[in-house]
Amino acid sequence: MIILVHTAFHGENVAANLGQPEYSYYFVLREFRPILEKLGIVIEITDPKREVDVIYRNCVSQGVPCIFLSFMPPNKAPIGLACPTVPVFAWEYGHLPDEGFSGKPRNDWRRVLAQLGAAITHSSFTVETVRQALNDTFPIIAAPAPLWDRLTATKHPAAPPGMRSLRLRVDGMVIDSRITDLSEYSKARELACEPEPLPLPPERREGVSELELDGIIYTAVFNPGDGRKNWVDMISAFCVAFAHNADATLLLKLSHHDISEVVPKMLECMYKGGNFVCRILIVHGYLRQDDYERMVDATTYAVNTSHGEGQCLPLMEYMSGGKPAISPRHTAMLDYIDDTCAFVVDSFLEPGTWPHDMRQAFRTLREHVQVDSLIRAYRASYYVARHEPETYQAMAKAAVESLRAYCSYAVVGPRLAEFLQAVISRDQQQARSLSKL
Amino acid sequence: MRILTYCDVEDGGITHRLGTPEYSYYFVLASFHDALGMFADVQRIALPSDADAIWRECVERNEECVLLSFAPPNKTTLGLQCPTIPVFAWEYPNLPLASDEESWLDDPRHDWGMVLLKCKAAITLSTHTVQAVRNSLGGAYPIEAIPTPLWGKFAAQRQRGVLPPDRSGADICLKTCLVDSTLLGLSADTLVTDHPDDGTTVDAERDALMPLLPAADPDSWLAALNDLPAHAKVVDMGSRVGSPPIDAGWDVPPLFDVRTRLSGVVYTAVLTPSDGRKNWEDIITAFGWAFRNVADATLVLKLGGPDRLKHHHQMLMLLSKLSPMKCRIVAMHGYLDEADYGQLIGASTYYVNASLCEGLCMPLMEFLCCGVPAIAPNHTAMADYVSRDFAFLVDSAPNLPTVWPHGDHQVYKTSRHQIDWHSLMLAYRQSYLVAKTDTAAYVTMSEKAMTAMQDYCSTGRVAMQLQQFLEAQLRKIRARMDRVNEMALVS
Repeated sequence: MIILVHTAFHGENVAANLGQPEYSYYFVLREFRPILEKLGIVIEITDPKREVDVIYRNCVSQGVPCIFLSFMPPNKAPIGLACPTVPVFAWEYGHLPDEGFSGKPRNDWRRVLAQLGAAITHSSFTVETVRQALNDTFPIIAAPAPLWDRLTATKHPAAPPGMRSLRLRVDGMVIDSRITDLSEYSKARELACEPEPLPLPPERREGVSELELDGIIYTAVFNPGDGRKNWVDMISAFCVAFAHNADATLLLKLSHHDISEVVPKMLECMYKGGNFVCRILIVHGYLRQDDYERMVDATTYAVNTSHGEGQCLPLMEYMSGGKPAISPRHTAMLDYIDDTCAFVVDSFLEPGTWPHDMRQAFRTLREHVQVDSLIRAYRASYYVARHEPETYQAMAKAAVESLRAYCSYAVVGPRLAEFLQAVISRDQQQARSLSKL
Repeated sequence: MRILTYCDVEDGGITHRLGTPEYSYYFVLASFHDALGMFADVQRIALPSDADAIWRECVERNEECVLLSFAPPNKTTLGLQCPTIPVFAWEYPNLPLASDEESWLDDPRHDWGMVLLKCKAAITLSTHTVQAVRNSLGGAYPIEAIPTPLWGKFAAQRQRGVLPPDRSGADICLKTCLVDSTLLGLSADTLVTDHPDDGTTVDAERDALMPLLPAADPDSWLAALNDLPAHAKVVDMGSRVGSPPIDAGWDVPPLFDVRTRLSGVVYTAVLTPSDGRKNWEDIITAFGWAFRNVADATLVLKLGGPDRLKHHHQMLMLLSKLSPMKCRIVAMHGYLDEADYGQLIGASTYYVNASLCEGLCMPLMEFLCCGVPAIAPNHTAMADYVSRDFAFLVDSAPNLPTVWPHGDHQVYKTSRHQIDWHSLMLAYRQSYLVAKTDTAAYVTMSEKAMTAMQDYCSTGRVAMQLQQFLEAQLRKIRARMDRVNEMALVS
């Protein structure tokens, strides 16, 4: 089988485009590649309109099955190709875009999907959403990025939480709430500085440095330019929950190329948090693979407070690596978060907008974590890490198992293979019925 | 007993101060006067310093005298000879400390606990505040929760009896600046935001390949609906004729006698948008979302306070983001006189509150007193009087960090409640179905609201509470003074 794949960004330009709408599709494709290579020959396409059908016709003439996977949202998937085209897309809202807004018919995803005839997404939640918008039998599967095997393969034996003191080598920026004068980031100062953002703190470290981590470490890896991540509640609730706990650390590992606007806002959020003795670290920069693994290793809990997730690669990585989570249970997390592997944070629905809708009209609902529940989850998890090592170990084990059932090769591989085969068979049947004519 | 009352608003000056923090205190004081008059001679004073002279006269003729200061503790005058009892509203779980804010350091009265200890006793409006004070000052501190006695004020309004839920039967005619959503030409497509274009292509030839699909089905939650119940005559607009609402656009329309019909199930909220705890955004968005496909649901927002144009624009933005929607939103800017306020109550099927915290919420009580059931959370002050018997409860959770409302707004010092938007949206729909399909249940809610409010805030009941509390405090004060005098004699 020939599997053609395409996404907007590639290894060379993705770092410079981390804030762009489709940057994360690069990382998703990177996770899928090994499993696709087990199913067929993978060819990366740079210009679908020109390349896909040429290869497809060659394949047809040679009798070789061929399929095109577009790792892009449906409004960006090529339509009208002869080659069977399957969009692989992430979605995290309860209402599929069903309007051709901004005068662009493809913004009505129902029409794109109906035309393409099949799709792959990453969660049961979105499979359900798509079927509600189209029909109950629309061919779509949930295939999360199969990253479990990679994480468990490199996993170090977990040390008991709170007993570790680890040093990471960071090449980039580190801001430590302990040594930063947060009063420089008051609302008053921010207003005085407008429209410019406040400058980054002089106490920050740049370049190569060592970061020492100890105590109970809560880690969140996210792109702060992505409004869904809701770091405001994450930080505020942490300041409240651990105002008096010096051995609790929130480690925010940022993946965004331009953080000059968002980091001052995060510091303002910390200043608002008042006199807390816990520690908050912002790390923005490159970690070598072994240092990234040490960061996972140093982590006690992975944290997520988002409004919705298509799958959430970092949370999946940490949990696959045996870290229990603090997380709401909604959207994609419905597939792998429960009380056995996470401190589940309550959430409720509120008005939301489709992220690519320039009007930002209220057309869907999104989730919002309940801050009180988040504070309680932080405190309960701290207690478990400090005083109940058996509970912690059981949750760590449950996290690994839950993610195995969600995103291991053994689970995703056969589902994906069967689905691609079905799409190809349908295409071949169609071709045969056409050739009879 | 002589009771002196003081509030930082002159009798004639209140219309200029609508929407300011002081104006609520003015209304509380005005409402308390009748109850106080049932057991004492009440005298309003213009300045706190006037109290001492009157107090000395009273002492000479052996009459008890106390000053009720209707103001927050940080605005309470300390050091008077006349015993001073602050009457204040408070909606947070803890008390301010002078050290909380830089701008407070020059006035020790920002330490509310200190003020209350000096005053020896206090009256507040809700049990929630009593708890906040006792958390700071201990369980023995003499403080009583006494609501504003609003029941009696609406006797005339109640003479119509209990009303059925559908209020389509009559026009209202109000002197107000009225914005009508149906005249705004709302469209989400005209929204201009700073959100970037995502680069989706338009290719007419290829786009034409895609099948055409009908618009999505509207929500199915309305399926339960039966025929409409009969209309009823509910408001008295006198002999006024009025003119229909006019198109608002970017400006708030001028003040004139507006005549309009509030159709179907009418939801009303009375609030000041600049007061963030009122959370009017959720009131609007949950309504607009709940009734996107319902033409006979109306939300009336009676808005007060400063920055009228800013809030009008804010509302236009929210309504545009929600549109298209079939339901109607009517905003009334500014003060309504008593008769017009009565018409509005009469035309309302439900009152809506989605506040993050409340010291009391007088409009909610007023509507309940008139038998208008509510949608509301039951946190903070509402816990004292909002019940499932006559309200659709909105879920909420405590501990949402926030700043002091009267401080520097820099650092979180307290918390309020987080409203579950979705439960508010569902409460709109549930209440609509009750109004449309179950008149008996609605009428029962209306009756129960009135029974509960009579018990909670009738003048007689409040007078009794005030008398018992004040007499007990004055006894203690007298005993203290006697002790001081004895000691003076001994030494």
